[in-house]
Amino acid sequence: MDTPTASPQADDTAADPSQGIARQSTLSPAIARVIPYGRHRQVAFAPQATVELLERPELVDVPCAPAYSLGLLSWREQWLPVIDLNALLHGQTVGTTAPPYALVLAYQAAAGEPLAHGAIGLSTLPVFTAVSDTQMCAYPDDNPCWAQLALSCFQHDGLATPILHAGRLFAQYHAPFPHAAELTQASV
Amino acid sequence: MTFPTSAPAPSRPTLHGNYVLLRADNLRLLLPQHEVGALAYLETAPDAGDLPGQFLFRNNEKLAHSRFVALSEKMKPMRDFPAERFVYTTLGHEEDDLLCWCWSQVQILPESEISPQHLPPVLRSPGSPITRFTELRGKVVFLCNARQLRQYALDLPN
Repeated sequence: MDTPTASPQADDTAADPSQGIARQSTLSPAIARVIPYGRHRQVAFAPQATVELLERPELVDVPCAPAYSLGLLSWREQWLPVIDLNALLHGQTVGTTAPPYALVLAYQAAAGEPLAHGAIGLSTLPVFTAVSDTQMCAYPDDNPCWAQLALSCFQHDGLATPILHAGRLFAQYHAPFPHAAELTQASV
Repeated sequence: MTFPTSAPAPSRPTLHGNYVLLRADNLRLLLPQHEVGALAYLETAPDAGDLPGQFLFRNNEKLAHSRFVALSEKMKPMRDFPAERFVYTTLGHEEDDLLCWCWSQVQILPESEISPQHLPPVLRSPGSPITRFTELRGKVVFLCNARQLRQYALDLPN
């Protein structure tokens, strides 16, 4: 199992500082925005990576798109990709109705490039929480994707909460990740 | 810590040409006009054919050798013929193409200017015929060509 770095900040934040969770000082905790996205599942983003929360987003379905796609969203004269985290990370089927919320995320595709944006569909509202080094923990063991998509992980409300890098989410197509059940079967 | 500003709206290339808008319910496809054959109207719905997703007219001598396909919004042939597909076209240049593609709407757009943009990579499946889109009269339409559409819809090899 991949072990995240002990600090909420990781190497990628040098290339894309918007994704790291910055502390005000060495003594004060960092802040993260926690996103519940399924039953007993949640991830987090650095607050500066979360740009805007939209209610009742109007989505345009994209034909032939991956199973985790929710479509395109018109936002500030741009069309943003919208994805479903539960579908992307755990192969759950996307619902037939649009999610009640969409959270717009910002990232840099490469160092020095302007910000790009994508969005994730949400059923519940995200929350802010303070994060300290003592909360750092290993990634959940339900999916090997965390090392690819996350910067680090912390314990929050009894759940291991990976801190995702928005750029890694939106920069490319994602083939289906093997899930815990498949991993268990493969090891038998 | 300061962060870069959002990306400025990119200048997109403008394409000029004759296009045809094909609508299958909420799916809107934009093809070059030369890739879409003449349209015709269905007076009645066809009957189920021998192959799933293909329909035919058993008692119509003129259309006896034609097979009709109605795409879903996921660009796959539908098993039940939808009632509102009253217009059909051929696709591509094949002279012996007896496949007729049925639509909710066919709109010819002569001498049009469109500014397509690329679909975000995260929404592009491998093998998808859809890589660009644009806005037309307030609606998002997806650019496609006849060959790719046929290959994808009928699971034909590349």
